Amino acid sequence: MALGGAGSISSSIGSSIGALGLLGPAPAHAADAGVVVVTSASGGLALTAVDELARIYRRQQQFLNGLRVQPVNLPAAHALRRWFSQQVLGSTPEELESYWRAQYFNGTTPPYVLGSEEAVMRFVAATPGALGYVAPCVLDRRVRVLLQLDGGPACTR
Amino acid sequence: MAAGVLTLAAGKSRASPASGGDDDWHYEFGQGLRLGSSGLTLGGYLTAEVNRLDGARTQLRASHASVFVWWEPTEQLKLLAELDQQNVAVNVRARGRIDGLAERRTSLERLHATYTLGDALALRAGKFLTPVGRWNLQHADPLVWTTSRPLLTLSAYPRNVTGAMASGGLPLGAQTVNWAFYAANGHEWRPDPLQDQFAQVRGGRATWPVGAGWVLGASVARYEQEGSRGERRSLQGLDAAWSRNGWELSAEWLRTQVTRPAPANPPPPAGGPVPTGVGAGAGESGSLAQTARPTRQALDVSGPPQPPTGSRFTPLGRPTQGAYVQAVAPLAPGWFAVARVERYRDTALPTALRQHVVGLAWRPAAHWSLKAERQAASGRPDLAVRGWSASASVLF
Repeated sequence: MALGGAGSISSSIGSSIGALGLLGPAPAHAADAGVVVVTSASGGLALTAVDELARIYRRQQQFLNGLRVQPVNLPAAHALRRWFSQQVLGSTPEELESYWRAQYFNGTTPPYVLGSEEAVMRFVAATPGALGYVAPCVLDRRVRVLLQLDGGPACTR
Repeated sequence: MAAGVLTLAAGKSRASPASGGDDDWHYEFGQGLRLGSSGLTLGGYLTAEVNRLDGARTQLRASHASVFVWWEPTEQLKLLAELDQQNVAVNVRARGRIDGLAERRTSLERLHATYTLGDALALRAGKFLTPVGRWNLQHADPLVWTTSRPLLTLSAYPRNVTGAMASGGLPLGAQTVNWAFYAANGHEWRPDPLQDQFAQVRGGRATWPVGAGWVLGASVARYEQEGSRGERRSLQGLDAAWSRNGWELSAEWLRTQVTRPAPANPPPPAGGPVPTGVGAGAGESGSLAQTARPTRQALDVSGPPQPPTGSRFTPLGRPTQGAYVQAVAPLAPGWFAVARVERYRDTALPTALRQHVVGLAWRPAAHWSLKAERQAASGRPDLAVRGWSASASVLF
């Protein structure tokens, strides 16, 4: 999947925080760019491609490695959410509204929205099958990186 | 969207990630009321509309109060029900004019259980929307761009099935190819008296993304209807949709044809189901034009007499066929122009109807929809609808 000018997918699929050298607070140079898709450090999820991530975030794919997968979003106005939506799903959150209206009519709701990256980290760490996306600078031992996407807004932490 | 979020501390429900609490109910406009983590979600939509059709009095009605609820007791099982209270209120002057079709009634739109074995296969049993075309599966007023409904989605086939369905999705890049096969042997649950229900049906539908924002669909079915038992019909349909940056283009083509005439049909029993209607309904149902399948007497059609549909005289060679193309263009934030052209020819009619709709839609928020449109007709203006319609609907 083409991720646009600034975006490309690193080959860090399934890599752990340890493998990325991001145990504990992330070093400043790693915090400057990129978006990471994370799951619980003890969870059994593995992603094979960003296309799979797109299907999961559209709720077209509900199972991953035998688990019911539960994606979570940041608020629609959040810079990371907007970047993720455009690069991974190919549309802004507003452009996806008609899609989600139709899904809702058929009994499917969009991914839960959590208010901050820290809320995503907490929820993902505590919920089997959950995955979310955060800036690399907020990573810690609670989560494991499934996928790293290059580009994205600069970390503000 | 944030303004539409309401979290209620109530009940003894389990964890809800949206709220972060174990005992919270979470409500969001257009996404329903989630009762904690009980797996229950309650939602619906409301519609009020006004129709000023040429030659008729202005009709005001609260046309739909639809409630749908689904429950997911396990990760694999989902139960979904939708009840639609139609014509909650109709202005008195119009009621007599439309001959009782705007009477208040409760319609069971859907009631089914779905067991998901995986992304590639789910099994469903119960009453569900007939998987034909796009419109029928997404017909709720807040989801569509016009108050009126295309003729071919209104009258060419029964809009509900009570039976069984297998469906699933297969990965295709970042999208999925979706498929469904369904079957039923009549026994419709709470049948709509304005529709001629399936007596038997076997059908299938597939949709697949082809890139650049396009999704194509195909539908097929073989069926009999209660009003013409023994008469076998086949259905073929194609549809396409494209959307990008607020622009939308969609189209459906449908054809049904008698493939085996009924052996000497007895007349339908008195009080039995009324055959499906034809007409450009100003609204999904109960509209002025959503009458029974038009007998020539009822519609006062001039011209040479034609054999009625559903009898042993049904001609095999002339299908019911229709197609529409609809375009949506963004004008300003929240404002859209809509245009639709349609051609429809029913077996019972000697010539095709041509219906044109031009309208304006305002979506001040994702869950609100206000629409106004002008319908025009050519070909058989005595049968097709001409006039103004407007509606307001909200998905809650």
